[in-house]
Amino acid sequence: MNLENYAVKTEKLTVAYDGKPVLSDISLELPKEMLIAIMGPNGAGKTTLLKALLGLIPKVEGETEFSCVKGKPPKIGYVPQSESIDRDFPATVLDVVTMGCYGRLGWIKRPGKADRELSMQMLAKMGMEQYWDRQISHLSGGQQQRTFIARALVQKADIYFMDEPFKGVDAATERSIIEILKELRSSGKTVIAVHHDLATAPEYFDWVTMINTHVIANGKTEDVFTKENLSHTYRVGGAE
Amino acid sequence: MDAAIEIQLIAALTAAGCALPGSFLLLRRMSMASDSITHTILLGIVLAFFAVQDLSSPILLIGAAVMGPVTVWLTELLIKTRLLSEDSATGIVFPLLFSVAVILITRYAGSAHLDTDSVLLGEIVFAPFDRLVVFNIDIGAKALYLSGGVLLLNIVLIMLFYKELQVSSFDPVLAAVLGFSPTLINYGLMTAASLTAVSAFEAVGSVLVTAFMIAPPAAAYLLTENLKKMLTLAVLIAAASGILGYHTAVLMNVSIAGCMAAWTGVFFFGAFVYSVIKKRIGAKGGA
Repeated sequence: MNLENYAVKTEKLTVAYDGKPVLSDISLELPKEMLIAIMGPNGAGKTTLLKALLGLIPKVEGETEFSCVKGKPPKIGYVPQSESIDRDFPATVLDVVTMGCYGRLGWIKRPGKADRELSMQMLAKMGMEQYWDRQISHLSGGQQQRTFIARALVQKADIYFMDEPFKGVDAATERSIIEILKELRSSGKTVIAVHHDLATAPEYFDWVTMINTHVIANGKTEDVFTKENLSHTYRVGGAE
Repeated sequence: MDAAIEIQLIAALTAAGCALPGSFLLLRRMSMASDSITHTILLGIVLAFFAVQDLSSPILLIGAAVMGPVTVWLTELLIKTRLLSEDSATGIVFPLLFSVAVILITRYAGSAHLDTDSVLLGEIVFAPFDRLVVFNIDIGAKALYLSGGVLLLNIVLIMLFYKELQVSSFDPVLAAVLGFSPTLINYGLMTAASLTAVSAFEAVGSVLVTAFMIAPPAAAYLLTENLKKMLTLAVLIAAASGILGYHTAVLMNVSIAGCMAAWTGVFFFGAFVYSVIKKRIGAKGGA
């Protein structure tokens, strides 16, 4: 039995570019089986925090630690920021979604029939099955995001990292993404998402982490989503 | 085998071999890297030559293959300082290493059969003179086996690591999350590209290797939206440029390597016109 109730925690995490700290002294515990929003103004270090948690960028100091799932390190799912995607890459919707299987396959082994079937299943779940052979540049913003959510589902992860999953999507897509997130939560998964929209945050997320280079607030949405914390986080000029 | 046919085969195999790693360099927006490594591997060749004093030694290939990743490493070291942009870093590293190589050649290897002309431009007409003889039987030009071997190596590598190359080119963050180190794959690709470039030296010289690495994949990229088809088309366009280039050069009595490179340009222009027309028709159909 694993009694730890955090999914991931950091201790005094500091990340710097050019000697300037982008994240400074971040100590956090993000709980399991919750929908967690990372919020903050532009340049607050939200994407950097995601990447630092994933161990993808060098840290000046500090530790990050994932709690194990069934005695093993958790499997990580990932949804990139939509504008970071090379839409002209020669890949179809199914190609992109099948990439979600690659982690299980390991080096050299190729995806087989079962992997493609699972990918089609997840595409169907996102209402995208009729577009499976479409090249990704021919998708709308919402369709593109559905494709990447389907890819994350194919990863069958324990913790999902999503960089602004609702950015540039239509209302219908937003609703279907939030349905999927709730489904993930009820099946015991954790979702950590960078989120921008203050209006929807309290409705969508159970837990909010507000950062602006350092942690401003970290806790259950009803406790920390206060006017005071928000004005502190989004303060223009970022005094102090 | 007839020398003319041998030359065409060598040209086609060399060009096709270049197009494969070139396709991934193009997709990773690293076309400049091909220009960079085709120059810096010269330093690898020169240093290896000083070590073994033999121009036909396979050690020279290894020297060149090592120099590719070294170039990438030095370039990334400069980028990490964040003092200059990626293309500037590339633009600083390769002329430096290249000029060191040129100085070393002119100063110390002048008497050897290593001159800058042959390295920069290559001379494919001489390739059939260098025979591979096994048990006293002439089994064809050495270059034929070298270019064929490198093409085969590239095909095998891409077949084995297709999904790793695909995912790390498309979404390096996902690749890292999935456990496929994008850095490792990048260095692997650069090693393969360097080895390919050095094998193409003799035939087309270092300057034109870039043309074969980038132009056929760029043309193929405009013609299809499918990665496997793009790789196949790039190989076919490269091979066709090699053969057509040979005939054009013979007809007009000019440089073979130059004509081959010119043909890659012709193919690219054709693909460009095709993609523009296709877009126009698509736009009209949609309206």
